[in-house]
Amino acid sequence: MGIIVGIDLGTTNSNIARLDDTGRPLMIENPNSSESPNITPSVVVFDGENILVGDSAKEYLHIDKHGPGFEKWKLEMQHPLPITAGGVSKTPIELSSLVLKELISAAEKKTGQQVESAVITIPAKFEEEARRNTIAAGEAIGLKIKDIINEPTAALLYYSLSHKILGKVIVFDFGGGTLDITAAEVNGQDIRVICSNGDNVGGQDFDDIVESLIVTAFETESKEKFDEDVHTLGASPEMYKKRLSTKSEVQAQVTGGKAGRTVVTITRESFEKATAMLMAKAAMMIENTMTEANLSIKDVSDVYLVGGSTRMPMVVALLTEYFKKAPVALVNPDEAVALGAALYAGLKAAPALLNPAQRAAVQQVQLQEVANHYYGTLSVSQLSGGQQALRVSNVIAKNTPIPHTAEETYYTMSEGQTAVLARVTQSATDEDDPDFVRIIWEGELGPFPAGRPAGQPILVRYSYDANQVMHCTFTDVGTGISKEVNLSFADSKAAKGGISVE
Amino acid sequence: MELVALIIIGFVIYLALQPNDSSSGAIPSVRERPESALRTDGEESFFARLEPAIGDDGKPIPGLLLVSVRGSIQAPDPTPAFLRVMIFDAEIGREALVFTQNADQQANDAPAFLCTRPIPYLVGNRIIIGSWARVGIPVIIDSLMGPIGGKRELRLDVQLIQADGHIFWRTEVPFTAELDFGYRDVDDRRTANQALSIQLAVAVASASDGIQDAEIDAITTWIKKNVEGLEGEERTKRKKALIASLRSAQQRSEAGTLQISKLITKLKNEGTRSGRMMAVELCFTVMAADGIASADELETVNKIAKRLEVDPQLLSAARDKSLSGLSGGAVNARDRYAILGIDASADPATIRTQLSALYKKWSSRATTLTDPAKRKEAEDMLRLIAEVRAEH
Repeated sequence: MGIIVGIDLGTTNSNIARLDDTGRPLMIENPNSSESPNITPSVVVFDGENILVGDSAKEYLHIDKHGPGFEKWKLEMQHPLPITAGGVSKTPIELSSLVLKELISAAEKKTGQQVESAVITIPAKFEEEARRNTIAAGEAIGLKIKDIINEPTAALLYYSLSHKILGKVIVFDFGGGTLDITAAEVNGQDIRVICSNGDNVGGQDFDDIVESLIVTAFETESKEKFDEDVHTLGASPEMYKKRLSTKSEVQAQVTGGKAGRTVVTITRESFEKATAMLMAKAAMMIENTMTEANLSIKDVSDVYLVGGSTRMPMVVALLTEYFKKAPVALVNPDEAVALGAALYAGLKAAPALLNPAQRAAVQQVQLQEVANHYYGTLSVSQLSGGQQALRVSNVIAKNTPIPHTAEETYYTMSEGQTAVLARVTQSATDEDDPDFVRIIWEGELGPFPAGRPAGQPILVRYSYDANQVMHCTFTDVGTGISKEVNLSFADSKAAKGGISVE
Repeated sequence: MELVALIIIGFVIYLALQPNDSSSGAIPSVRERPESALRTDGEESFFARLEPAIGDDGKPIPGLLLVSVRGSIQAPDPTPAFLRVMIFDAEIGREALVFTQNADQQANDAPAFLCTRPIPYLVGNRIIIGSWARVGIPVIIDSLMGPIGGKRELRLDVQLIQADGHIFWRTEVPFTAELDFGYRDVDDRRTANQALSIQLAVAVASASDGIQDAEIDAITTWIKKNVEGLEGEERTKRKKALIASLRSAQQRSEAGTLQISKLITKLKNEGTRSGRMMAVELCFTVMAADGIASADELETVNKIAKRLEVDPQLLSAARDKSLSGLSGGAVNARDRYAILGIDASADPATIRTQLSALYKKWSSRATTLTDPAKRKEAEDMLRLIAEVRAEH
């Protein structure tokens, strides 16, 4: 029998977990990862004929910074244009495929079994294209992806398995490239997500700041301009950042140039001062999540930490100050997401793939997600004086528990109008300005009979089902002419194949 | 395939419908409430009337009229499929407004046909509308506008039409409406408003360090954009008039006779609501034209907007659109608050709340926007917001 896996495809690091024979999620080690066996760095290098993925690629890139290597492309999944490094061009989807391939082959080697079914995690902030591109990366290597799941939700699934959680909780998932904050109501393994917010701020931003602090200190100390081709840092900025989490100051070494070797001191205080802007973003996101979830501090029973960046003392300090209690770090925060995803993969896998123990384990889990965005359509709003303006009107609001169905009626504008331009929009806030939303689908409804007067009702119905598919139907009430599109957020091809016209 | 003229879904929920001019904010005075029998023929009767629309608060909604019908007539076979109501204006020389109601849609109880209750459209072989039932969409007063204001002679024309287009019933009800102004008046007002906006923008731009070429270019571009919708002679005429306003404003500014406070008073007294907003928007555009918006300039425009009583939401939208491009450069401490539209002297808790709301808005935009340049602007705004927040 094959294995069922959950994959955390991270900005800086990825990992994979499986559902074991008793139905509990378990990390799978990557034999090629020497530093931390459960972690496969999301780094790919094209060294001539050889493709290096993970640890070896990371080492390669540390030595040859401008070599043909790629890292931190996850944020580009939204706009998957080729990225060029060292003369090689690859799309974020291709790069993600290679990391997935490494994880799967390591898992199959380690367990001696085939991967039968998988779930990949994504940041809550990911929009429709990024979700679909993530799935496409898996499908490209023949992976059977059953679903995708938001990272903080996956982590919460895992935490709820090992701990008795009751009440309203906050999951603070601070990873390499993204920060996701989720509010949820939990009763044992019954999880109801209240709302999720995310932004592109993560460990890499802190690394960049550590690097610039070292460079500035070096330039002051040596009176020499830092030149990437001449000077080298003794360790990666990430390494210095990690040390600053446990020590109040670190000695950073710069080799090369006139001095040959210069040692500069970076204090945690200066690091925290320089990153105050990043922490301000986190603080604002916490406030916005609490407002959106309609929660006050006393409503929150616990705050759970997920992701490597939560190891920084200032993150714990920020959360403790805001929530007036220390956040909870239950297991290795880097692993909770993959472990939860493995559990969710069991829930989503065909029952025939599960043994009775696994089936019994996943049946305990109840999960209700919410819509991660506003979904609407564009319509013309009539102002006085005959002025008209194109406006967004939202049909499904963000944070609506799914499955959910909503209907709105609109009207044709002109006499003799023979078609209607139907559009599905997506946005993270309740925008009404069409310039600030994304049109995720567009089609024409018609042709209607000629000569009809204006004001013909058009029924717009959005139905978001539990399988992350939104069925959008536009119907001309008078003639019954209708157009349906199924926008799937868990299948890379559904949107193209799912259009049916009656 | 037939050319699709207007292929956009129309809204009938007129929530956005607000009078855009102070003058049309007045309640239209329909002096004579027409209630005329379309036909009274033994047991048959049919009536139509026009009345001001009443809002939820029980008060008339400015700028809106409703058409209602009531009656009972023997239906022929086939039954009429449509009820059509037209308002005809001889002075304009065409029907000012047409709307049609379909019997089937009514039977389906289509929610937004603006009937307060389902019309018992067909009872047996009679069409019965027992009590006043609203038909069609509300009549927007502005759409009845003629060339000039004053008393307007209009005709309400109500028809019952069979599916094949044959008119089964038809009658006309004359009525009078008193309108404060016509479209010519509106045009004149608009031109006056535009001229005042130009003068104000010149005054603001010159206030700090004299008007720059880029700022003049921005005004010229704005003038061109504003006359785009016009045709032929009208366009040339309007353009000339506005350019002349610009030149005279420049001269007066140099001579020191262009006073912001006087212009504000004039705009407040004579300008329409949309006109005042237009002036503020132009000020923002002109201010951003040279790529630098100084705190002084921004504060001046914010103050002007306040005195002109511009809707704060519209103001922040205008500021976003014209200034987001500026946040990328180095911005000094005072300017940052001005760009964000935050009062730096407010208490820290208020500032924090405002910053969080701004962060949410721009964070969504940074993800949603597909144009890389626009996205960069949104990200710069986010950085700016976070920097200001880090100080609180």
